[in-house]
Amino acid sequence: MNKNKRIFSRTAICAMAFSLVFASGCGSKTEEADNGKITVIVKSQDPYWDAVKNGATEAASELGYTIDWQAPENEDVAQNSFVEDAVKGGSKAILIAPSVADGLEDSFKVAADKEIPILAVDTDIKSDYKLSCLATNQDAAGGIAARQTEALVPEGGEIAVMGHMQDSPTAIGRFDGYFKNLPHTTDCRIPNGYTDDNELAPNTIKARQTGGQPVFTLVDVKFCNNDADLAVEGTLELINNHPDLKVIYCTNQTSTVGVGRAIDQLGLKDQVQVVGFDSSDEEIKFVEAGVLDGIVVQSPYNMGYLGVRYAVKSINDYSIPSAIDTGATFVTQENLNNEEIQMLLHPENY
Amino acid sequence: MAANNKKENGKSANVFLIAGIALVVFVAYSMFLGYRLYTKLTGTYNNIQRSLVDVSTIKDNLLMVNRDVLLIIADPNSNAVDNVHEITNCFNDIDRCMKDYEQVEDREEKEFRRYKQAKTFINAYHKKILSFQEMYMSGAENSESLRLDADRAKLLYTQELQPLQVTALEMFDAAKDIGQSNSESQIAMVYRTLDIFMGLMLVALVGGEAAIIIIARMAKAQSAKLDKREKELEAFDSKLKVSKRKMNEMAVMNILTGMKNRYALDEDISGRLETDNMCVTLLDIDNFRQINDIYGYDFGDEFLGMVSDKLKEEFSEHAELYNIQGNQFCLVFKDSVAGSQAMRLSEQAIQVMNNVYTISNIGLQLSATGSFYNYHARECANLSALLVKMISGIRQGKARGGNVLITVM
Repeated sequence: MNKNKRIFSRTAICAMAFSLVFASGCGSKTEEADNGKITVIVKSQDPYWDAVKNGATEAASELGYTIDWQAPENEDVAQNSFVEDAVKGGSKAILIAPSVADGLEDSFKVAADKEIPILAVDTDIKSDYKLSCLATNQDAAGGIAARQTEALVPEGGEIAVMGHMQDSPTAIGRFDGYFKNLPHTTDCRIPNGYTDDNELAPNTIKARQTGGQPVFTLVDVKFCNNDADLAVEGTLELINNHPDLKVIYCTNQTSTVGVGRAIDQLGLKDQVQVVGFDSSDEEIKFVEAGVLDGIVVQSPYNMGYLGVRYAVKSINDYSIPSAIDTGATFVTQENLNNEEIQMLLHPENY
Repeated sequence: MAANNKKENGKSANVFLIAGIALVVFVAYSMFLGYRLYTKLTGTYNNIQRSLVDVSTIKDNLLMVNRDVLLIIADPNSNAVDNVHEITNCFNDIDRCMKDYEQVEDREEKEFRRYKQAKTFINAYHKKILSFQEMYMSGAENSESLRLDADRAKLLYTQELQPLQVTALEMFDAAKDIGQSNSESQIAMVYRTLDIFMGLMLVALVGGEAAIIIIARMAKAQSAKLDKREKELEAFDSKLKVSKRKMNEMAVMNILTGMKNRYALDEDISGRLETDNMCVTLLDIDNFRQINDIYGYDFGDEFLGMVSDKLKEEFSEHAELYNIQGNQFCLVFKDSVAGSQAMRLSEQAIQVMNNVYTISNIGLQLSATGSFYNYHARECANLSALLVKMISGIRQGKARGGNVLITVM
């Protein structure tokens, strides 16, 4: 009889305890879903890609996926094996920032045969299997830089270019987009593969000059082979060779930093306007100091974030646009502290 | 044993009390829990609905703004004023929805963070549109160099406005997705809790039923045990009564003769001495001692038994008979017997005692001496005084040689 009583009282206590536990547990978060992994292959281990990784990881976490991050030593490493490993590893989608303009098609086909969506991020690539590209439209980025150059130097003048790699599609896109939108004439040789078919006609030049509108003259195009020191040397040459130089246009982070260092050393920040790309800490300091007059900043975080969201949409059979321009913003000393610019530069704080 | 029983009953009562309290607490708590779950579910559904309405209104307005910008670019002369007005209205609507979205409580941190990013993109987009309006329309008059022609306006739209709008829309979708997924998991959790809760209720119900059955069986067993004990007690009590009666009888009876003894006589007449008249006779067997001496006590006892049986047989009808001491007998005559009759009966009694009694083929005849007292109320204070008078009568008779009835006064 005592045993029965014990069992009865213990059962009652257990039931009460359980209901208490469940009541207090109500409202707590559930465990996150595990829908699989998405492989993200980038070009190198440069800090620039960290922002892509952050964006991708956050989107994946929100949508119940994990990120399989693949970053080769440098841009010379072939990316085919990463794509094939992703297929073998059971990835649900592949996001890739292609280092090359072609040569990945066979690997892409292997993935496409298994119905794994492929999306390009940061850099576009021509492919029959790529579903979409999320990148800054380089032509548009060049256009933004051109319009801002015009606003910065309304009187026009001599302009030189510090490109990062002569055969880089990014450099070509940014050069072409820039000079397509900048009212200019050319007084130098244009490198092979670059397009400069928007020179002003002589009568237009006259009309603009009469109307007080700026006209620029492209006087030199140099390349630094992605080496900041070479960019410094190149800048010194440009200044020596073109004493009336008004603007130096740089096509990536390395070339911008090199040119900034040279202008800073020479104390020419008020004479020469520098318009560059990207947003390393050194560049931001140069912007704050007025050495750099403006930098075109992409949004690698958004590329990663939106890239994963669109990848998940295609996994779930939603149609997605074939190209998504993640935009570019011109950052100057004036707007540097605006909320939208700070969010672009430090997305982890927002 | 009785103490244990009491303890056992006390424990049973405690079990019922605890079970009752537990049941009340459980039911009250269940009602509270049910109410809480219902409130939570309703709140979550309302939040989802409110957020969906806000986000879809924001997205509709953004798309309308986009359409208006395109219309302005297409033909600024005919569309500008109306469209600019509409853009302003759209952004007012977006502001209102954003404020409403922010008022919803219990948003997850991730969702709110994404929402804030979307809001920043919208603000940047709005700012850009305002500067676009200025450059394209009125502001262009101030700075000729900034005048936008239709081609440049299109470029500015595709290169600077559209990416902001697309990103803002996507970020809003992301915030909505996170909120929805969070709400869905909350709803799933509520339903899961309800399932478990129902299961617990079922367990409690089955457990309660089982407990009632167990307790009922316990009570039944207890009751059977009590019945058995009650019967045992009754049996014990009746035995006790018999023993008591026997003991009482033994106290007032002479075991040898089966007649009442001196105590009984005391009991019977002491109370009457003060008030009643009565006839009393004391009889004493003459020379009885010799029988004991000659034939032994057993023989004497046997003789006394036979004499007393004969007396009972002859006189029980008229008097109450007492064997107050060994060979002494006392007859208290009933009220219906008159004094003279009593005296005659007393004489007969002496005759009866004088008969020959045969024991183990030995015939014995002993005479007896009697003392008759026609007693009147208040003549004696107590039985001893009465007996003293009567024994003195016996002595007188024995002094005369016995076998005689002496009347005492």
